[in-house]
Amino acid sequence: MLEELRAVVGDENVSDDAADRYVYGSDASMHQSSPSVVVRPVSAGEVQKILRFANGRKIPVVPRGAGTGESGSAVPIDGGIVLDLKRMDRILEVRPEDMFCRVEPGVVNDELNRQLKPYGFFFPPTPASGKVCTIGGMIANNASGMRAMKYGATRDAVLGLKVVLANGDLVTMGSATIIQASGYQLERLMVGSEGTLGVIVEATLRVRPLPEERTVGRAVFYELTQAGDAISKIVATGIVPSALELMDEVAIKSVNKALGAGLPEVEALILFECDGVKASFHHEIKKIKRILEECGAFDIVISDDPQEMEKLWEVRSSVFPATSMYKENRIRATLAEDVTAPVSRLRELVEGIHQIARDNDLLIGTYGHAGEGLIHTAFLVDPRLPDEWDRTRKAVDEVFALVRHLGGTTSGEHGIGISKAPYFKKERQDLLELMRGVKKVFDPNNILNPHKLMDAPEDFFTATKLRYPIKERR
Amino acid sequence: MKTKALESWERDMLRCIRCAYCFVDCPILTELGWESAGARSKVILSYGLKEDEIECNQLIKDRLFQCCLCAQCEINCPAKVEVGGVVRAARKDLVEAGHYFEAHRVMREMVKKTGNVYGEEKKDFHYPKVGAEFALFVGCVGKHREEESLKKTVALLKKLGVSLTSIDEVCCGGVFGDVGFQASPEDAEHIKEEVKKAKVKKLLTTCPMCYRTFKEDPRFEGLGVEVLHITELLEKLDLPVKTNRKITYHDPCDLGRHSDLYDVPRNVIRKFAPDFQEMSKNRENAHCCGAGGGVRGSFTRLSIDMAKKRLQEAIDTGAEVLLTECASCLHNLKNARKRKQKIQIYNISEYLSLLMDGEVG
Ligand SMILES: C[C@@H](O)C(=O)O
Repeated sequence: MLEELRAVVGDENVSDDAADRYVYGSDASMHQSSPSVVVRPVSAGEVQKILRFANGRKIPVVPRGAGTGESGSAVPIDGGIVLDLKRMDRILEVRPEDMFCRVEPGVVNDELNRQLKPYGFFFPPTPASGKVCTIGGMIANNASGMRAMKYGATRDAVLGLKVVLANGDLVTMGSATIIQASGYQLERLMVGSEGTLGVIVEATLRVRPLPEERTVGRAVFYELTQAGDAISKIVATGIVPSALELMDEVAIKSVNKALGAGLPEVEALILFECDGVKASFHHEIKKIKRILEECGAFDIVISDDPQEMEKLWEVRSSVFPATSMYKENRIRATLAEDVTAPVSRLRELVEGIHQIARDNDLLIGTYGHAGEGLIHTAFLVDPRLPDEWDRTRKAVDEVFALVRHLGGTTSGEHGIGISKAPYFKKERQDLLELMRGVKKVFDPNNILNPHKLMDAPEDFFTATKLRYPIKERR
Repeated sequence: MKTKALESWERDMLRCIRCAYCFVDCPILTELGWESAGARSKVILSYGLKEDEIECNQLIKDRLFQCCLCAQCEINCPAKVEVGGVVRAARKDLVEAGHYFEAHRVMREMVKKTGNVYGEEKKDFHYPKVGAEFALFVGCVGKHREEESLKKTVALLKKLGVSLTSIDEVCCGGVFGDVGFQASPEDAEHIKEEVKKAKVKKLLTTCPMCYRTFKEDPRFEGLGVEVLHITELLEKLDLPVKTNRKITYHDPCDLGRHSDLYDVPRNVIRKFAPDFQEMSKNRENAHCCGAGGGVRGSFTRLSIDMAKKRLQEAIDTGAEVLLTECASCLHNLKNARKRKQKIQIYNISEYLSLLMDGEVG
């Protein structure tokens, strides 16, 4: 197999060395499973040849961006070929007059925004990992982030895609127009498909004009539930801030400890941002302020100092890794992670998660894009203790049961991968066969990221080796 | 492979959530592209070795030694994982198991033989003086690779009336902990003895690595004198010259990220060069020149490639002169310069000396 792959991409872009196999066997999830070989193509043509070859031999192929996923979507559960797409990192064109840009999948989110800025445009999703995550990965997982509330998730920005199918054919989905009603929206089907239907080799993305002005605010609460209520109320009034974030005590203390962020150490903090023209959004800010105060907020600080704003979002982006600093010997394990409920149920969601933590004698922090109804669960565990894992797994079950009860969904923005698959299957029971049918049409030999989503193992905990050293049961 | 040093880094390796924020500006990853070359992966590979999930091979060894220990990853890491500490521990275990680089072993031998890492004949900057305020310590790279520059630095100190004495130098050993070898306790004792004999209150270093080693390495406990980097001294002195040329500055990792001296060298430069332009990546985000962490010795081309990029960033500022204050950075950046590249590269102290002599504008 190596010979054929080398012939396509050159010796220096193929590796079956133990070092690469080990490293490319993991991402930011708890899963670990090595590929047989890692290949780094630089063009759609190379991807086509690789897939044609792999399809003929029925070798699994797992596309990969920066490997920042938190649920194991890029972990090659059946081995095979990992396609590292980071060399395909060209921004092919920016067409502000048509409101879109065309990019390769390996372009990094923040780099795209740096290149769009001189045109007065931006690509809105803003995931916390934006400085490193790639567009291909964002599309494959339908990533969103802090600004999705107003501007939508990645799916809302995907106008068209070039995709290499399992058999090596290159197809064009969608169009280079802002709207289209030309039949099945297959580009939308690719969004969130996690590499199981095809390899995205180019994306036409809708860009938005950069707002003239932005203002951020911060409000402090003594009780998390008050903050939850405040968010639901803000959304219910019809105001659409460009960001509306919640951080609980665990998140706050973590960034204070890790980064010296200097946030007030209270039970909850709301961060919000409005953008556009100040004259038009200043009354929105007033309204938000009033609601926050009605819900018990104090110490509301508002700022339009760009440096301060940047610092605040940087702090917010750091919460995910920083939570590992919260307490000695407790590290963040990526579990549940991005549960999402209707915004009106936010208080119940947050309250419920903390109740589950208490019931199971666990430490779970909560924060996230609350204006979208999304809560990140920061499970802080001592990964060496088996009984801690027992309680953690039970709590994960309960968190997902709660989300379903509230009418929410398994994943808001990170995707399903391996870790969330059992819960996803419960949520989508009536669709599993339909999805398997779709998969079969696109990938009859089941080579593309096999055993993920609806085909993933029933128990995420035993699905792969875990990255943690679990000590013998005492 | 048996690991020992890595055992005490388990907590850092587990705390790494693998978010990959450390991929941003990792100079080795930028050069090599393979994820296995990036900072996160060095933690993953170290963990794999410790847990006995992988066996050391050539590439694993290469990857763990392809790190300048520039600490950009540690700046970027919100989980405060000490990647450099993990890498140093991994190297120690690798060397212990016989997986070392010949270039590094030879350096160790050379220090034993000649007192410097190059195994070259001892060069002394003789100006023994009784009752001097400072003992000067110049380090191997300056003495043996950037001698002309170093001479100007010493001349500057004399011109500025700094009361100086030399000591019998042997390598401070700082590099050895970085490449998995043990630094010599005897050499440290020798240096301490020499400093004592010189009867000074302060030890003045030109090399940021020596500076750091004297300040941090437990072998130098009880050194008994204040350790200063030359920029710290220059900041306090009156500099009787000025230049109108446009200047930019490269932060040596050992001075900036490792010693937190960001403002000091800039304050010095601003005293004589009003037209100062930062590079786009500066201070804690300054890209490494590629010389550190033993990379220049074991992966010379990779090291120069990094220096080329850094030099280009300096050129992009439009500056006529690139200043730094580190013999290693100076040497690497000069080696990276192509003939057609007009920018001049000096240590700050060297440039000041030339200015005072009217040899540059
Ligand atoms: C976890 C990541 O999605 C965040 O929003 O911080």
